[in-house]
Amino acid sequence: MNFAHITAASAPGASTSLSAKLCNLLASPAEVFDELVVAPPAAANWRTPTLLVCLAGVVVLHLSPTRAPSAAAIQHLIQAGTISADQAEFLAGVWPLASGLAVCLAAFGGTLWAAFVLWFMGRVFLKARFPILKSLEVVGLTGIILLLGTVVTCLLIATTGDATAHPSLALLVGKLDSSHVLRKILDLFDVFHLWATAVLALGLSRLTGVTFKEAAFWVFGYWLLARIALALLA
Amino acid sequence: MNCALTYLWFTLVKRRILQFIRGLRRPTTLIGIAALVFFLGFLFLHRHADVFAQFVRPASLIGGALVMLGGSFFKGFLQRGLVFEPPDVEFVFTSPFTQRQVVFYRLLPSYSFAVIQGLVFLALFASHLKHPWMTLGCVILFQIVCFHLAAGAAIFAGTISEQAHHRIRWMLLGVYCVITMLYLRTAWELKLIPSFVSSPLFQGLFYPALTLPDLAGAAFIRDWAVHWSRGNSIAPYGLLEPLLYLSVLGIGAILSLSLLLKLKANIFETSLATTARAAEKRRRLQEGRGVIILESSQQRSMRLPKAAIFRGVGALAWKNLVVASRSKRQLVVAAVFASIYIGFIVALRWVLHRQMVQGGELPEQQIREFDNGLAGLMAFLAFLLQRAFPFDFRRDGQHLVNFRTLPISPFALALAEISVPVVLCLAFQAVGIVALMSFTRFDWLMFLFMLLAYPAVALALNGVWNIHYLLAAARRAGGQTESASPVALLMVVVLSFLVFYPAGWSAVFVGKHFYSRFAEPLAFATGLAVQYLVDFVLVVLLARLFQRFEVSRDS
Repeated sequence: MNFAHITAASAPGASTSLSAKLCNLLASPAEVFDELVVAPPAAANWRTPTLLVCLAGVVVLHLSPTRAPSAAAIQHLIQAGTISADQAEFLAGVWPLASGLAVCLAAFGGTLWAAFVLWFMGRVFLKARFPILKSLEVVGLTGIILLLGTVVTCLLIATTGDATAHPSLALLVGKLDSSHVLRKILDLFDVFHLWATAVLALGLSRLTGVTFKEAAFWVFGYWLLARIALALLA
Repeated sequence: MNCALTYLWFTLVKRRILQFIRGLRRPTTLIGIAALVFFLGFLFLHRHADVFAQFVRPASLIGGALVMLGGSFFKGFLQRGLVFEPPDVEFVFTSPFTQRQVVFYRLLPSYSFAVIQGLVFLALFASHLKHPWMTLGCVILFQIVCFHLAAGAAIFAGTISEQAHHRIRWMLLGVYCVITMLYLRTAWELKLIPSFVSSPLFQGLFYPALTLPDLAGAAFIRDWAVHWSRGNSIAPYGLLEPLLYLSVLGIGAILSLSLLLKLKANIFETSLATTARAAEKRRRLQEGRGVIILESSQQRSMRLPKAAIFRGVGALAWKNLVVASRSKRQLVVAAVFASIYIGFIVALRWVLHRQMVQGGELPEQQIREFDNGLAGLMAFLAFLLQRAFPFDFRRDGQHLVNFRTLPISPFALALAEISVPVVLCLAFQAVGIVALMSFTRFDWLMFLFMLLAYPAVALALNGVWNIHYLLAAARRAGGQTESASPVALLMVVVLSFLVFYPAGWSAVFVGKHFYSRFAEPLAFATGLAVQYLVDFVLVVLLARLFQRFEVSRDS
């Protein structure tokens, strides 16, 4: 097993700060991962970016007017007898809170899950041993792309006025219904999704010591092809 | 293709066919081939059925083609190199043949197999095809393509490193998985993926390649907020309590595991005796001898009764009766099992009785037939109980060498060995009949028939199974420790049904050819006579096998 290139880590080298890592990840992820692989595990490498993603998600949710539950929707629930007027008032306050909680849970849960998937790919498919904490760091740092994507998506929504707008190929097809299969598949070709997936593949290739092509087969297979397959088959 | 290699292939094929024909002398091979021929014959007879047309639908053919293509490639890839016979490696590889000629020589058997399989396909599906002969050609050629693909994959896989082979194998499996799901969705409209996986909430599994605002706007979040605002618990869909239980139990499992792993005791010493005991128990069960439970108190020796029946060879039957009386656990298990079965039969009769009391009407003849059917079901109890009483050659198999030195005839010994299980089966059946008679009245003929038929059935069953036990005991005494093969067990099961065929057939024959009022008693009498004759043959066979049993203590 190619465990050596990670355990050889103890070799001291010039380590960059977390903020520098986050910035470099956008410009030169290979260098960041090269440094990450040989450095001892650091929890801040995944906790801080994930907290930033949570923060960005909550802030964007509160700033974006199209995401708030409209009064009409709550009115509809009252008319349907689902909730009373008092409950509707409570709902207006609870809804953003629930959304924020969901975003935070998704960020932390997603980070752990993605780290496990990455570790599993390396362990089972690529037969390489590396600590799961390392894959957690790779996923955590990659979260910075998600943060950037969230900001850009919200700006796009604000510009177009379309709540379903994404920086993806779906922009090319205009006003196609969001439930349409073609629209769903084109939405998957989101620039930031592809970017994050490519960076994950790079991280996996660095952790396992395999070529980028081989790591990309599995990472893109899961993060892109599996999603397309699910969109087609579900 | 080289002429020498063609000749070699032809000679080897001829030799294999001869070996195959010689191999048919082995019962298991013969039964296997007979079963295959029977199956193919059955398919051929029903080849015009509609279900065969379904197999040659385009969707089915595409599915089959995909399986063959994918399977061939994967099988070849797993082989990592072409498989030859060991003599081929020694002689063909060292001879002056080119690589192409050797590959072609390797493919020749596959070509013949493709032709044979194509002909079978034609025989079964010709009536459902527009152009049968054209299809035959296509099927043969397609199979040849598959063989080429498998050979190519095998050669390619042999050239790559072990690590790359491992990785590509997983890639292939992943691709096959997607292709299978796509095929099932498009060809058969079978959705293996539930629709909820396309919901925004499910997209959380693809973090960080997702859009957070989409996730926040999911319907699930709205439902959760509504649920919360209606004064319910914060956990959606009332999941708080189950989640709490799950968490507590999960923590408990982790804590108990950590405590278990912290135990400092030496597990190896304490496990030795336990492992030996468990292995002995398993071995005894495999040999069909049952598990002996050692009592704390010493078993008291029992005197031989004065009755003449227990003298001479009867002493063996007495010994087995004593063993049975000491095997309380097995008797209780059998009693519980028999009471469930008897209870079911009695309940059936009770339902009929209740319906009749409540005013239901049924002709006398039909009631009688129903009762006879219940009596037949009671006879079947012997099939179920036979395995529960191992007081025959199962336990005595280890004493075969000692039995050979006894001054008793093999026939008497065989009869004595199977007597105890037969008596026990009959005792349980008698209890069942007595319970059944509380709701029904059998006429004298049926009563007489049961009195004579139940022993015949029990005797036949125990005879058949004891032949198997005796052969197994002889093998064990000869030093072969492996348990009976599934085919052998299947043969015994089939035989335990077939032994009743002659009696049944003769009874039906007599019943059909006599139209007087004596037809029924005569048919019963004929069936019983034939069955007792079969029983006699079985006991004689058992005795002959015991007589032929030769084993030295050194073997």
